[in-house]
Amino acid sequence: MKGLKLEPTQIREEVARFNEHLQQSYETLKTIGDVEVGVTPRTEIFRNDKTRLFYYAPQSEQPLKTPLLICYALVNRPYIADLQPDRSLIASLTREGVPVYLIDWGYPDEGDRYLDLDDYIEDYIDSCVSACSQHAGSEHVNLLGICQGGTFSLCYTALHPERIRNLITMVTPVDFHTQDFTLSHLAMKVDADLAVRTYGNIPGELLNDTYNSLMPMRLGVQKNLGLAAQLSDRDKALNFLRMEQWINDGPDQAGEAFRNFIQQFFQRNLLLKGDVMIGEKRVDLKAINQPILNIIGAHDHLVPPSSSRALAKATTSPDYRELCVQAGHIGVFVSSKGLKQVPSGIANWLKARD
Amino acid sequence: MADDLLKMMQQWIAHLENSTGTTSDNAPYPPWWPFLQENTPTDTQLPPQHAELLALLTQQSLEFARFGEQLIAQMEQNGSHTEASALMNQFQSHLRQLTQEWVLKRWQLPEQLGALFRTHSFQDDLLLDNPFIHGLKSLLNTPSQLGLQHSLQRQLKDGVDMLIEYEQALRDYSAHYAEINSGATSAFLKQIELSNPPVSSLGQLHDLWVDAYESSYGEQIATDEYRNAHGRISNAVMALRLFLQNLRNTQLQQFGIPNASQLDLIYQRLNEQRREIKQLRRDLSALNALREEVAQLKTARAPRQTRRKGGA
Repeated sequence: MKGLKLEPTQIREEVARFNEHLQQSYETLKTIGDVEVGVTPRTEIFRNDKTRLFYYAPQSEQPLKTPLLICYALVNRPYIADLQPDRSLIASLTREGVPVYLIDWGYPDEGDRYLDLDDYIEDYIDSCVSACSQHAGSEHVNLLGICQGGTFSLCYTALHPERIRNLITMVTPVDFHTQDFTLSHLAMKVDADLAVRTYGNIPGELLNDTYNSLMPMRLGVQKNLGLAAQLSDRDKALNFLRMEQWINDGPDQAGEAFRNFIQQFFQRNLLLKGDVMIGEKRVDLKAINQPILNIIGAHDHLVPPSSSRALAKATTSPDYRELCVQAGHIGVFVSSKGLKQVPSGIANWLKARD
Repeated sequence: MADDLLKMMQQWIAHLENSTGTTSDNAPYPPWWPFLQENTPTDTQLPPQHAELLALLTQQSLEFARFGEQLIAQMEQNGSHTEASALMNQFQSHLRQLTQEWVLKRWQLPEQLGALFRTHSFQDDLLLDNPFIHGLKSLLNTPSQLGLQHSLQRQLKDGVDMLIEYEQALRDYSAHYAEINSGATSAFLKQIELSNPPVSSLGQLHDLWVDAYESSYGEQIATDEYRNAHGRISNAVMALRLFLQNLRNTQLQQFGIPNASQLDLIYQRLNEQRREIKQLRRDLSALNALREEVAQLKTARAPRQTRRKGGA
């Protein structure tokens, strides 16, 4: 066969090299204890049920007046925004003079099965906005929503526009029915009622499997084959282990909130239609006229750029900007490329609107 | 244990290094694979996360080495006349196996049913005496005076229907994977033909396969047919799981033991109460704010009234 030249000697060497890496990996793993994540100093300033609000003080002499409240998704843990000292969106923002507040939803248990989107948006986010506002001594807050947290932030801002000065959405799904939105495509025929009746809270592991199934070979065979080489180097191993810890630390999803989100957003695409109901309130994105910065990952396979870009025409904001980073869903705020562009991009944009 | 494992791996690597470039009359490799498989995951000297990774790595290494060895053996047996197509068949069967394992693992039956099918064949007499069937039989034997007989029979019939639906859904879903594999295979072979310089390592071969597979997979999952098959198998697995849970709940209820659905009802009521309490707190807080406002207004008004009275 043209284009193929395999030699026994070479294959044997390759297998030997692979196993040598495996041995080195073992040696490296033996020297590494439990890995640390979320190392930027912070203070817990508020708690509402399992939801906690953390404050990260700005590290600059001229900090912004308006605080920045980060709202992460319910899936996965928010410490991805502060993974390690040299890969931390939060640390980078504080260095730019941004007072940062982070919502941590915690880990829902069986008792939280009936929490719905009304609880998350009208109670938890709302009380965090109040606590952040009070702690910072500022009437308004800047809201930064990441992924599903971005969708929540859009809902919250539409319901309470008077409380938000500037809105930043990052890798946020807006139009759930674009052609290339694979996750949404696959969710269409899944019976969310049955899922909640069966599982109660939706297991984080199940969702993780779903994300991995979007690129099974790349995230399975290829990633695993690269493992040995990756883990044989201590620094690379530490980076890898932190990321793995985060990937495998997906909290279960409160059943009702999951049902609300799948049915209203993924299956019926009601956000763009102005028909999403949070409790008894209708979400109208046209009520948003704040300045908006929409940060998009050009190679995002979970939330395709086409979905996020739909925000451009969905609100009445006269000041809408996009920042497109050449990275994937997580790379937007964890990769070196993302960290070079995103924190300074956010800080400069906010400074101009403080 | 950890040091033993390390020693074994070092021995094997040394052996591989020594045998590099030699012919097929090499002595067989030391039998360390079973040892690794049995011991690595239980290594207690490493944090659990690391131990799991090591287990995965070892497994991957086994697959990789096993495949490498098969190729080497074939090439050494046939010398330079080894047909590339034979090598490709070997490679594809290796990857097909990985994919198949992935599909089955992802959509496996709920634990209880999975255990049933793993441990018993349908011809096996023990099939009728295993805990699951035993449970079903005892439910069916419940005296009809309890009024449960008919509903249980209906439940069991539903269970069989669900099992059939699962089987059909899995078959339908697997058919898509056959198409994905076939699309990936032709793209893969095409890529190899076009490779210049030629592919000379297993790593490159794997990378080419991953690209070909992801491309074929991406096309397939974008279709409505795949979406329907995915939804169908997801729902079939969930329905079976729910069915078993309901069966268990019925049984527990029958013995007067609190079950999951009763617990669920308690959670629902607790949540309603949690909301009511929060609403009451909000109302109370608004009331207090109003009271303070009234008090402030009164205080502000009082001196004026005093002054007016004094003036009169």
